[in-house]
Amino acid sequence: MIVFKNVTKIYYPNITAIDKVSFEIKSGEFVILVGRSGAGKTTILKLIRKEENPSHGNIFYKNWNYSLMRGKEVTILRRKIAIIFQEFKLLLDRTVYDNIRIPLEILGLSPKEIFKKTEEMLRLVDLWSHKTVLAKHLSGGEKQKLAIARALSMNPEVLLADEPTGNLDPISSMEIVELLKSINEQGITVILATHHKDIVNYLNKRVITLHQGRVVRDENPGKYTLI
Amino acid sequence: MLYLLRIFRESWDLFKRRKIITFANIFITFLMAIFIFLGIFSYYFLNESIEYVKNRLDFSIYFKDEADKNDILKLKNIIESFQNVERVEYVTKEEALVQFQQKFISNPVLVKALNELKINPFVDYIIVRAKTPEAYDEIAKYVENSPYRAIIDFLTYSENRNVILRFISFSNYLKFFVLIFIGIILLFSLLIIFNLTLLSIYSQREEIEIFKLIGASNFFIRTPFIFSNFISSLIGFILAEILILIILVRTQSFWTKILYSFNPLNYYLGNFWTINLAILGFILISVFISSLIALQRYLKV
Repeated sequence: MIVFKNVTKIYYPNITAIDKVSFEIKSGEFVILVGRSGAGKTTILKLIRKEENPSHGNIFYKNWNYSLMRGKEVTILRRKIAIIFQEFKLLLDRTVYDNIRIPLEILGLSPKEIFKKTEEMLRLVDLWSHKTVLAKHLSGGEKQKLAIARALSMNPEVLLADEPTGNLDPISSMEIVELLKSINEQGITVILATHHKDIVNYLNKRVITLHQGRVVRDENPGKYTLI
Repeated sequence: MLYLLRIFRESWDLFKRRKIITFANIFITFLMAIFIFLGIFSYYFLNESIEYVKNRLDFSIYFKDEADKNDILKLKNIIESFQNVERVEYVTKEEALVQFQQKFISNPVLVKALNELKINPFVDYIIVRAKTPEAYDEIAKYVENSPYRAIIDFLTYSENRNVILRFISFSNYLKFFVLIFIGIILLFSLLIIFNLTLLSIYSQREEIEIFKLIGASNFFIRTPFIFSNFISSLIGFILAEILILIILVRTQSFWTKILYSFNPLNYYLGNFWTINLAILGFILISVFISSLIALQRYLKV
């Protein structure tokens, strides 16, 4: 489904973020990217969403070659590959409801469909009762749940999670992990970047370990080991 | 259609949420519209003033007492055939006398003194009015060197020449400076609008990034920003127009007193669409281009 072939990313002036990285992620997999800060986890996620272009090598999503994709195709790709972040990236001045409604409007759904889908997503993450609350007034855990609900509302095929528990307390972190697990069980491919040992070991899924931009271990199931 | 309605709703929402930016946009557009109008108004005022003075410029050719009326008429026809001559009026000495008597009918001393002369002290003369002040010099030169010079007593042009030439030169300079002034106003307006748009979009950069993140197209992101800036600009413009109209109505009698033919309200109402579409067009195009340039930076995600 997602294929990296000898992908290298060099940032200006000469910082190698990832170096000749190759792997394949199959549809419906739960993959965990582990590594120290600066190991290249976020770069890989950015490359998957085509927020960055590789300096060398090729990336494929299904039968799309990233090097041949243009504007509209990139927009479609980003709708298929949703992402959540450590810093949530929500529309903080909008209500919880609006944070789900707006992406659905972008997708062109009818008002009736939007209401139905928004209710479904907010109930899934247990935020329906907060629908009129401004996003900035939610707790960290609730913000991340809202971010997940927003990502899922677009019916993505892949969900990327970039350190989603980085700003959360242990209980909220486990809630998010459980949510990601259940999302994966529904058939959505999940790629989680984390350096949270307990989470990696608890999940018992495929682990790709990165060190200085290179893949040093790829085990399924894998355990948390840093080099 | 639904998509467009959503974009309009987003624009309105953005307009309402960015209170400080919206207020600043309205205020700046308000000032810009006032300044641009002042520029147009100054140019119009100057043009009217120049036209007013021009209309009072003429010169007369006074003929000797023994001059043949046929020769005078021939010269009149020649001057009339000049391209830049607007009107040539021939006043006979008899008509000049009647005009004088009518003008000073209420002054018995003058009328009595004239009657005591028993002769007509006036002479035949022609009044020349040219289309442009520059033409007077040309006509005067012709007359001075024409074969009819012998029947001419004197020309008033030589007395007024310096005043006329100075006026021409001054009015040309003034027009040039007013145009530069308008140009500077437009340039400053453009820079201020551009910077304000840049600032307003900078303050929303995170939101723009999030919109990109959730898969919004550039069109979906860009349009609400442009429209919400349009809405604030339109409000600022309308407020400025209301103020301008109030000022013009209130100062109407003042302007008429200063310059008889000058009525800015009539000018404004007579050119309502031209003036307003020009000002609004300038503001909206500036906002549009500024928004596009400013947004481009944050849309490259």
